[in-house]
Amino acid sequence: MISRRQLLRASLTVCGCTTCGGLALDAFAHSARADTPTAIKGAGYDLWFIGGQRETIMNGKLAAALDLRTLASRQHLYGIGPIEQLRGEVTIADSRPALARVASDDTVKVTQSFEAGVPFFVWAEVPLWQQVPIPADVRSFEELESFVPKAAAAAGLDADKPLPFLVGGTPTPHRVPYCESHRRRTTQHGNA
Amino acid sequence: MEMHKKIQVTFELENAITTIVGFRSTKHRGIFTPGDSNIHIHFQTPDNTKSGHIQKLQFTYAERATDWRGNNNIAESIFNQMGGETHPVPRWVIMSAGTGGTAATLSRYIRYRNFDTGLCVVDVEHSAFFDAYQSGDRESRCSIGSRIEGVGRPRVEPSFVPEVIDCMIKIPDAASIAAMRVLSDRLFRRVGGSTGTNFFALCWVAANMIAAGEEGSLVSLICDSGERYTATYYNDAWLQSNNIEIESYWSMLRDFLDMGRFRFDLVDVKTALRRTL
Repeated sequence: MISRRQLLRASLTVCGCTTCGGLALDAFAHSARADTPTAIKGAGYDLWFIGGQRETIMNGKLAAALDLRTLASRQHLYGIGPIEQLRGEVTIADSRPALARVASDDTVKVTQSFEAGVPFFVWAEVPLWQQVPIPADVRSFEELESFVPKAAAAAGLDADKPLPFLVGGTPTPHRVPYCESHRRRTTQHGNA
Repeated sequence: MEMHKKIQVTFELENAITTIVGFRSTKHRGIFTPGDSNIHIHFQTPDNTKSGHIQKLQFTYAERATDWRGNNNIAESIFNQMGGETHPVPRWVIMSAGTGGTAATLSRYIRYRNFDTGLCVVDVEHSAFFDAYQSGDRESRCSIGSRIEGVGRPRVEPSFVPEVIDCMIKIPDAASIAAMRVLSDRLFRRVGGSTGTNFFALCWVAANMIAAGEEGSLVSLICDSGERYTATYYNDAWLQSNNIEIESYWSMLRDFLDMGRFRFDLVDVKTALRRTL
């Protein structure tokens, strides 16, 4: 987990839709939509994804590709994606789901439930995280984007592989998956 | 695309202790990361009452986290870049206020290096910074959220340090959006609303310098791309539905850039000066 010291508290500009702005739609990759879950084995984590953002946005494939209830029993589960028909957002942190939907009064209502389908989704099971402090000069989304692979590499992970990560506000730090090969080093530094 | 825009709700979490869940890949853009990014991040608050997709993220207390004396911070980069200009020391640096942290970093660097450069911070229509600067009351509030994404806050951020700001101005949102469009036309690329805020203020400062017979350089930032605002700031119907009339500002700015004539009588700019323009 990449973590920021006490000094840094997150001030987030967020929206209730994964597909919001900034996606530079014409810049989407040419990768095909994944119709069944694709599994990727990382060091200390397992990652899956299904569906594709491009297909959802550009081609209107808004129907569920995955029923979240099939993930309800998974331990140490982390996942993100939109709700089917782009009715909101799904965020799962350590197996705790949050379904954020926009209400008629334009407020966001969150339900703690797996009762939803998702047109595309990425999720991972991560039993242990390795903590990495975030440097003071990482202040924005773009700087975080640049920092994550460095943190992964510093933690001994393959930065070329798809990777889950967490960022904690005060006082929780940012983390990358903890893998067995790092047990000694992590323990020595006492930051497991 | 239009449908998802309709359900988009933008809000801010300030000083929040929250968990950000992220995934990174360089090979899955348009699959599970956005088309223009290698990371896709969501957040979840500890009480699980708020969660969602993170479009922008800014760590506050930037002015405390940044070594404002140098070390390749934004202020040092700006002044290094200006080294080859006719007027290498800018007369003014113009910066809109998001958290105020960048402005504070810039000003402290200016003072540390003893440059003869003023810092002009520009605030937007629905924001508390200007009132706080003018009154000295950090408890100033604004009941309406800013319509210019990334700048303006309903209350004063801890990073906002009025003591190091030489001048503040507050401009209508219509001026920001008009300036955004004018600048986009000149650059042949779309910029965002907060860049329009900066650019309008820069024109206003330049017009004041022209009126005073001054020469010098001015510095501001292009903060954001305009591609994300196709359905809003660049959409006339959206402007109309939000009662934002940009025509007069748009025409006036074009005249100013083409002929150097700035119609101060047409613009609704509030000013608070601690240093003469």
